[in-house]
Amino acid sequence: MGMHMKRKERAASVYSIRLRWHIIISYCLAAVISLALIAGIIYFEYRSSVNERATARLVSVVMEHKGTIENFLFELANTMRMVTLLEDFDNLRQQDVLEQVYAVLEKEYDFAFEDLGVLDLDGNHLAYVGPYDLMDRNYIQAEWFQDVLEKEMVISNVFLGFRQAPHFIIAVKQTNGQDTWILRATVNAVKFASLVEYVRFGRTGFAYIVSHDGYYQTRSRDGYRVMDHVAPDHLDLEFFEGVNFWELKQDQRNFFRAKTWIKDNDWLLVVEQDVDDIYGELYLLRQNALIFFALGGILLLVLTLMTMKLLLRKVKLIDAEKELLDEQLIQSHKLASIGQLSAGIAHEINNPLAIIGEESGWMQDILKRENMQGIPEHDELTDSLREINQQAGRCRKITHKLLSFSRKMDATIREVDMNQLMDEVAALREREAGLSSIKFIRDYDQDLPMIHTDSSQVRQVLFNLINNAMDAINKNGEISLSTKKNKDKSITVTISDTGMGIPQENLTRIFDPFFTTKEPGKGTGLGLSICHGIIEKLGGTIFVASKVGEGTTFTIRLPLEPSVTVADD
Amino acid sequence: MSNPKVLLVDDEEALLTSLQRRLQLRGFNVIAANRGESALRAARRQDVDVAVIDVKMPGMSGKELLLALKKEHPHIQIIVQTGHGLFDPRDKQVADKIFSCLAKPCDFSVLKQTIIDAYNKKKAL
Repeated sequence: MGMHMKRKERAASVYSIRLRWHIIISYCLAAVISLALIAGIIYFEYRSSVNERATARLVSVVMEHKGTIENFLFELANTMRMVTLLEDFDNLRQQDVLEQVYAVLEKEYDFAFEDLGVLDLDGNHLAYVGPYDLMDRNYIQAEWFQDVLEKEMVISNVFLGFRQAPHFIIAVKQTNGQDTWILRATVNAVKFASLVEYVRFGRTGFAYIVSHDGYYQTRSRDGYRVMDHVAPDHLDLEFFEGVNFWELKQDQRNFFRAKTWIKDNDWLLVVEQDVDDIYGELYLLRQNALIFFALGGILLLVLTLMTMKLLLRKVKLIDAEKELLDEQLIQSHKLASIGQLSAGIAHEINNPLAIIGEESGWMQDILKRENMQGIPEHDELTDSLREINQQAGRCRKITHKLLSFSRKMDATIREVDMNQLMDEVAALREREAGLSSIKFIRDYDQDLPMIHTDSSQVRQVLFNLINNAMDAINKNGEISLSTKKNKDKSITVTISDTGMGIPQENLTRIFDPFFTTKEPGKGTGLGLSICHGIIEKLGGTIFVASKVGEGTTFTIRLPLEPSVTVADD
Repeated sequence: MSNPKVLLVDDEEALLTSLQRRLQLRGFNVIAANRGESALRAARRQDVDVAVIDVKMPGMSGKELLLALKKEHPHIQIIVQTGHGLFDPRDKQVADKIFSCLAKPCDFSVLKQTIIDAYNKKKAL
């Protein structure tokens, strides 16, 4: 019993803890890994496509603005050149003509031109129109003036100048006959900057211009004003062709930057947009995806747990079946080895027992002689010898039963009607049972097929079981006898009593030889083990079920045909 | 009733002697042998009516002995005493050659009666 308990506990622990965790962990790992893989692939694919789109947009913004700015500058410069071509130097140097021209330009270009002046090659104003009194200014030292002498036309960097307002100069050199002169205009940088600064896209998209020597030409995004110098390491002013773009981190800010050189590589147009802005929708998507995958994970987990529960239930069921089979196997093995052992012992005891019997018999023979009749203890000796004989006889019965228990099968297989056989056996005890108020209840299957088996041995089994049932009831009770055809070419015979029942701890030993709860001398404890042996040899099985106080049921299953191994030899 | 001549074969000497004494007391003419081989020789010297044979013996087994005895003396009646489950009296080789098969140890009166029955059968032949 203890062994059985232990085995059960061990089996339970194996399936319910180790196997359960094994299944949970491997299922969940598989689920989480595949989910994470899918999520990761989708996320990074999407991220790179967003990235591509964002940089492509950045590049197109840069290109577009490069075009706009260059067009604007070119147009201004070209207009100035047209003026120098259309108007004679002699005309333009007259104040009133220049004023007329200025009026047209101012109107045409929405006050982009702040002033207009005609200069000689020494940098002196010949004529000037504008809000400031600059007639006396000399520009010979100005950088743009040096440039225009060389290049015919110049667009200067933005500078504050004495006016303390950002502006830049467009100057055109023209030669008419012997006269070479210069038309100079100041362009309001604020107006120009609006072209660039009002470029807004996304939430943080921003554009600005930096001169090749590192001065802001328009306001920067992080608060630098026009003409401020670029903070060291903030911007690489190396010259390159086309458009450059990359992602970078500066002042705790992650952003994409695209840049290109404009105005004959004089100005650097820079466009920036924060990474957060670009990935804004991606972050939202990521959040949604996280929620989605978390829900998916939970669903998978629940499914896994449910599947596992089902699986474990199945495993436990299989295990229980296996355990039952194991127990039956162990039981029959145990009985077989006990049978062999007891047969061996019985055989060894037989000869000494026979000698004891014969020797005491011989002594009895001697005591019967005439010359022995007179001895004083004659009667006591006779009694004693009779007792020896009786006890030897008792031993003999036990050894004979033991031997029959392991005896080679000498079954005579015949066609047997179990219903009839059961009735025959019941009839032997029914009258006596009636005296103890024990009632026999019959529940026979009327379509029970004939079976091929050894009727005398089965009779012995039935007789034994009915006797046991009567002993269990003692007085007042019922014994139910039933037969039933099974689906699998076998029949079932049950004998139930309403007796005292068998305690659980005895139930597993009930078929063991010598196991008895009867008083010493009242039972050998061999009856049920012999029944077990007989039924097994006939290819059947015998089971017992019992509940203390309610009764006991023996169930015998016998095949319609005995198995080949017990065939009569 | 003439005295039946009984050949008693058992490897257990103590059993042999007490059985011999008790049967002789009751008027049987008993020859005792503790081996199959000596039993066979004894049967050749004297005319034996009934042989009571133990199955398990060193040397010649009970089965071999009874087959040999039956071959040499077809009218001899054989009673087999078996102490274990290994001897099958239904064995086709021996079934028709055995008068009776008794479980050992067997009640003396049963043995005595069986010997008398066997002797009567022998005489009737």
